Amino acid sequence: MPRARPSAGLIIALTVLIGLLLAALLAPWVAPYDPLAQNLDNRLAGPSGAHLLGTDQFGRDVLSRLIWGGRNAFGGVAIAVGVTFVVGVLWGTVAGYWPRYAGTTLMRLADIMIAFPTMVLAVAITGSLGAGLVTSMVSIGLVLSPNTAQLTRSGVLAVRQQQFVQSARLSGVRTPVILARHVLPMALRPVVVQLTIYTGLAFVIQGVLSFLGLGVPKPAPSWGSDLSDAYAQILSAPAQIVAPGVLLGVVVLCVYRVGDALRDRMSTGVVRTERTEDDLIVA
Amino acid sequence: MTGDALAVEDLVVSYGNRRDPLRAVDRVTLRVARGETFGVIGESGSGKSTLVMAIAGLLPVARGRVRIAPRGGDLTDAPGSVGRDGQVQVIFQDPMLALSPSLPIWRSVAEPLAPTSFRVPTRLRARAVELLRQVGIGPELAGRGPAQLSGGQRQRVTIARAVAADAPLVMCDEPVAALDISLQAGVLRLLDDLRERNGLTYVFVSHDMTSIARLADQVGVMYLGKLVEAGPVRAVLREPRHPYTQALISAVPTVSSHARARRRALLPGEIPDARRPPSGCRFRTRCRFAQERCAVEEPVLGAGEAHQVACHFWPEIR
Repeated sequence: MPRARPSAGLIIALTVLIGLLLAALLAPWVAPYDPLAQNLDNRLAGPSGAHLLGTDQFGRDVLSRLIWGGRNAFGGVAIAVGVTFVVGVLWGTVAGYWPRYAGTTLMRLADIMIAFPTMVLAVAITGSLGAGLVTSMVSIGLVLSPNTAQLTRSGVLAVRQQQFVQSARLSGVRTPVILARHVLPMALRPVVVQLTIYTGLAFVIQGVLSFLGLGVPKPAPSWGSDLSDAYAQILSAPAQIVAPGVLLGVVVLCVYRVGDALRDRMSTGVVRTERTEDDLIVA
Repeated sequence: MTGDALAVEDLVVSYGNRRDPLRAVDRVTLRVARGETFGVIGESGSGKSTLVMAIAGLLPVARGRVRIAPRGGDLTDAPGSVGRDGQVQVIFQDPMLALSPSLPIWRSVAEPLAPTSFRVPTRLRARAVELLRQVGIGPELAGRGPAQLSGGQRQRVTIARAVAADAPLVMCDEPVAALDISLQAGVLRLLDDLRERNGLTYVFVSHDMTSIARLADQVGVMYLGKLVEAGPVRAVLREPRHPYTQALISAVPTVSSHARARRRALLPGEIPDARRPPSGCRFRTRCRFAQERCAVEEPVLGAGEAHQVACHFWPEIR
């Protein structure tokens, strides 16, 4: 089947994301200033030739802070999505392949976790683990994982009864091999799409946690805490909020655009439902 | 070696919970001689697929036993595992469902050759390609996925996989029902050739009398979980004794106008609810010849005879 050419939107989204990721990785060379260097003589300045995005309330270069903050943003989101993937897929696979006892227990546990509002639970877990980038992102991963577990479980549940799985069992193939070779490649298709959505969500939640002071400790650069600093100045310097806000919004939109493309690609070749015996026509 | 390859004794397979079970297979007893093909016919819901899945170990046996003779051995109680420790293979109806969509076909065929290894070893590719060639699939197709093959080719791939597993007993569950008419004959011939060449024993489920007539040596007729008639295929198809078998055979559509003129034994209504089967003879609610005795006393297959029938009145209604 010929693959559809990527749309202009997809190309732009990928370019933006890859560009930001590269900028964050190469921050020591790319960023024009030290993100922590203060210049109290030049506070809350608007964009200029020296400071492309202006300076914040301590006179720090906003552009440099956003570039350095990208490290925390991308790294943190990777942790969150990684935790969601590992925990959720393991959880859902066990629940789906052994649905009777393990599955029922594990899914009730998922229901309980989902019943809590996402943010409240994430804040609670972060609070109990101690504030910080890693703990806050791990807690976001944990909070999102029951949803991934549910999606994985339903896929595994559908695939495990398929005849190609039964054929493998008939040939004496062991369960871990069956799961890895036959079940997960089919069952994980929707999960991959879900995880791109969670990637976007994780950027937002990470921003929110940093905004609340539960993420990266100040004065380290972080999109969320920069946003909260800017918010504190909203009356005296309303333009401060624009740069970090727009950046976060653009990143999330770009991630979702990539997710859309992934979904379109993954939805082909879905598992067909089982067919029943052909009816015997009896006159 | 002579003797039987498979013996099913008093087999019961139930679905659902213990309080309200559905006996999809109810006290079925049959024997299949080594190297022969045992055909099973019956309507949808008669339990014929359930029977072969239980023999293969894919469904739990509620009562009775399944005994299988390994190559060169005598009948022994089959192990409870799926596939009876590699002694039984199943060829399913729809090969699209029976082949992993994410694997190239040679890997599916090679899988039974190295069931315990995590990755299918690439050195088995040559063997898999050779097995594919034996079923008429050229090496140029070996790297394709199942979706890139025709229905007939796909079924040949599943047959090659069954051969690779080297199980003496193969359950064929409507293996050609999902294929085009034009491809059915070739697949049936292939199955028969492989049986002869590899000394396989088949249980062949079908609702198609023509393929049963071509392949089977013995045939059993199932109705609502019961075996109602069994015997040599010629005897059963030419001189059916049970009114149900008669109705089934006369219902086979034919193209010739001559045959259409023949009167058909009517089979009114639907198959009853298997959770609450009729008392006595299960077929009595749809039988033209039913009498009071049929509701009270359950007919059993006459043991010991070659051509067995479970009907009180078969000599009279012939």
